[in-house]
Amino acid sequence: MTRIIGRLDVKGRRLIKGIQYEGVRVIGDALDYARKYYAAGIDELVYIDAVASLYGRPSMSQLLKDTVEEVFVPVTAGGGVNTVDDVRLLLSSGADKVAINTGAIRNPSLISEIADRFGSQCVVISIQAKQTATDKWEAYVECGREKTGIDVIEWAKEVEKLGAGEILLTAIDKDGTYRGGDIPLVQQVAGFANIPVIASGGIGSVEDVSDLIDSGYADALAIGKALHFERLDMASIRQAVKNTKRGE
Amino acid sequence: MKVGILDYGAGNIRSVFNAVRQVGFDPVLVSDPFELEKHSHIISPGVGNFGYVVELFIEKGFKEAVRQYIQGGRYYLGICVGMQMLFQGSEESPDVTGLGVMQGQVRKMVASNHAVVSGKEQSGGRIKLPHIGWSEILPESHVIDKPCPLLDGVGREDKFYFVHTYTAVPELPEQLMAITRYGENRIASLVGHENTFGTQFHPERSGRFGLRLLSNFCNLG
Repeated sequence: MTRIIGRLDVKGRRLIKGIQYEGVRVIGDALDYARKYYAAGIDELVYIDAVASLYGRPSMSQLLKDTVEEVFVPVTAGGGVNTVDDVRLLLSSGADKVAINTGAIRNPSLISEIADRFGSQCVVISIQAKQTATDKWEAYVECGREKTGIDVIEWAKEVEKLGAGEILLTAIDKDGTYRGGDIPLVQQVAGFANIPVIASGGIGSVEDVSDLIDSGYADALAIGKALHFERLDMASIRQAVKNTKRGE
Repeated sequence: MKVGILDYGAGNIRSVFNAVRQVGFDPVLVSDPFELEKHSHIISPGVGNFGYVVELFIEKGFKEAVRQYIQGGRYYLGICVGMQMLFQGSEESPDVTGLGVMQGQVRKMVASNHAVVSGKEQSGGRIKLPHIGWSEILPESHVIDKPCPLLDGVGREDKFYFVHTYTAVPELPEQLMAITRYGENRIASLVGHENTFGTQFHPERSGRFGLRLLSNFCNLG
């Protein structure tokens, strides 16, 4: 039941990846990777446009259109979503859900507007969490570049009330490090949220996969770098998921 | 076969369109109710709020037209809310009525804090809503004697993608083709009555077995 989601951070049509959101490098063509993960049996894909929020608008509609012609699993699109019209554009380009971070923090009522119009199931709130003290995390925006002063746990409760359907929780401190997920963070959010929580950041081994599920209570995992660089393959991830307490 | 996909302003039209093309058909988007009669197979996608979808249906003149299309005995497949709409009504939007092609109501599922799924403990002990994820569909016993044509080539272990908070509760057991378990919920995942079918899951987002089911539907008749 735990979903494995391929996370593709993109710049234009290129797949990129950085370490802790800094030092970005181009890995290849995003669609090639999307195809490859679909063929390998991925449960879902997430595209995050890493530069869109700088320009204030989403720009991946062609990439989405091309992707959904060949990929028949759910696709989430995020980056630069600020208005109901942005959401409409992404959904009509083929996205099943949209991921929103900055736009929701600036204007929390956007969450309810989208949920009312298109349904909660298509609202994924992306939270970028940076640890500030033991068991305390602050929400960041602009791909981890800007702090907001907002407490992650409080924000997670708030977005659920406003009608979010899922939370994509990225541990900035772990992202791209292969050092394992932020278990206490994921536990705090996924253990108490009444909506599914997708844990992202730090996965580098099958043990990290099992830990996030068994100890972090993650409902789904978003894996980027470890898949892109073939450090992990779908078969071993599935096996790890199967061996968790929750089972496949 | 002339496959039409209802385009009434809601739903993931593009993914259904692409999936039908992928299995070798050339679907047409149907936005005018008078065009329905030109088709042998109609697929109704649907996501979001039951009441909102029904209102759009009424606004575009589809509600009566679809009822007549179905009564005419041609093939119809409702997906997600498109399936829920085949029933009489939904707890989600008590002020509107569904198509009433199948008997029963759509009810909210039960979330729980202490749950066991497929004999295994849920980590965190929770069954969350919406139900999002890949699950098996279990054919009902009458389907084992008389297989549902949509499940041709689909095995018991094959999983489909679900995303929903409500589930239909069919009153007539013979219309329930397959169920899916989620916590204590018994989801009506596949329903069928004569040439009308409904899936709570999204075949167009369910990888190759979803495509197989769509292919089975489009090849009926």
